[in-house]
Amino acid sequence: MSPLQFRSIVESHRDRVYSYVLHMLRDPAVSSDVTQDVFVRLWEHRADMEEDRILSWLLRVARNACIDQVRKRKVRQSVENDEVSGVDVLRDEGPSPERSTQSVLFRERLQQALDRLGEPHRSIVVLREIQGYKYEEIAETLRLPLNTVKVYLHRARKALRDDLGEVHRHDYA
Amino acid sequence: MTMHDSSKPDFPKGNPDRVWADDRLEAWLDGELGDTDAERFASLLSSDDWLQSETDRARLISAEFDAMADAKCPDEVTKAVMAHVRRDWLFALPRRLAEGFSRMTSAGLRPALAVFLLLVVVISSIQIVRGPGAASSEDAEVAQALQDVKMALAVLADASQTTGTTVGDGVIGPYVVRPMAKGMNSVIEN
Repeated sequence: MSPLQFRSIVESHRDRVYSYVLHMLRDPAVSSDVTQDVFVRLWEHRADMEEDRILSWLLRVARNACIDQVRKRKVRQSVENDEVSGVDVLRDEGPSPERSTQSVLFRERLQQALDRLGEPHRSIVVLREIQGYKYEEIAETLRLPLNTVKVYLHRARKALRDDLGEVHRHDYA
Repeated sequence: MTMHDSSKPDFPKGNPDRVWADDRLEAWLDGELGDTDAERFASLLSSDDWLQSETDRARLISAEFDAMADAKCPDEVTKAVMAHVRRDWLFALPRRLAEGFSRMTSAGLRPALAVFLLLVVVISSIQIVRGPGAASSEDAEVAQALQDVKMALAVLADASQTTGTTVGDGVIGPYVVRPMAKGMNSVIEN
């Protein structure tokens, strides 16, 4: 594979990989670094790669990198007893005038509830609910049986709903 | 977070209909319930405020997820990746050339190809070192290098004609391919 061919692969998949990482880590700078590392690893493994499985391979490597990052972040937090950096990243453009305070608050709580989901539930929610992947693609990416993906998604959505119950009652009743 | 937090005070464990509906709410929203279950769910929804509240919240969550559009990957990521790729590719080029050369089955073509590659390497190296705006006084060096390569080609051709054989692998490897790879590496590193 020539650098030119590789570049077209990077351009085809970079947004999807970056988005996934950003939703998992919520830190643009770290997400850029992780995405870069993922594609460098793809270049190093290009000889073993089947073209139609590149995206699921990329997402799988990205997920493992995210898990590593979250682990490191937890260690740093326990040492520094500080807040997670970039926790507000996905609303970095700030609330638009049209968006109500309630809506912004609801999204923040949803992000926090998503953060509290364990793996692989969180990845499944991000891949399915936010990025719109098919169940089959998620199953291949996470190397889980199809039915397991469906069951985990169902549980995760219900858990999010339960977690958001309180804010919803307070703000939307 | 636990997946089934039945310890929550509002969990509908005391009401079988609510437990049933709570377990099927997302499937109902996705239109994945069968006709009978969908009818039962709709009937419960119309008469149960708790279920309506849960359904509203589930809809809000879905709407928020829909609004979280895919982010655009910064161009710097692609630039950094491709810089790594180009560097890696260039460093591996001499090795790949040498490997490809050694795999050639037609031994008779090897001397000619070796000289051709040597010619390319010499010219490329000089051009890279000189740069596009170099002084014309260095043209003499290029001419001399070309002359050397031509002489090498002539000697090889003459040796083949005189002896009736081609130049063997044992000569090409150490005297042509390795110096060529070394030269390219030197140019790339400098």
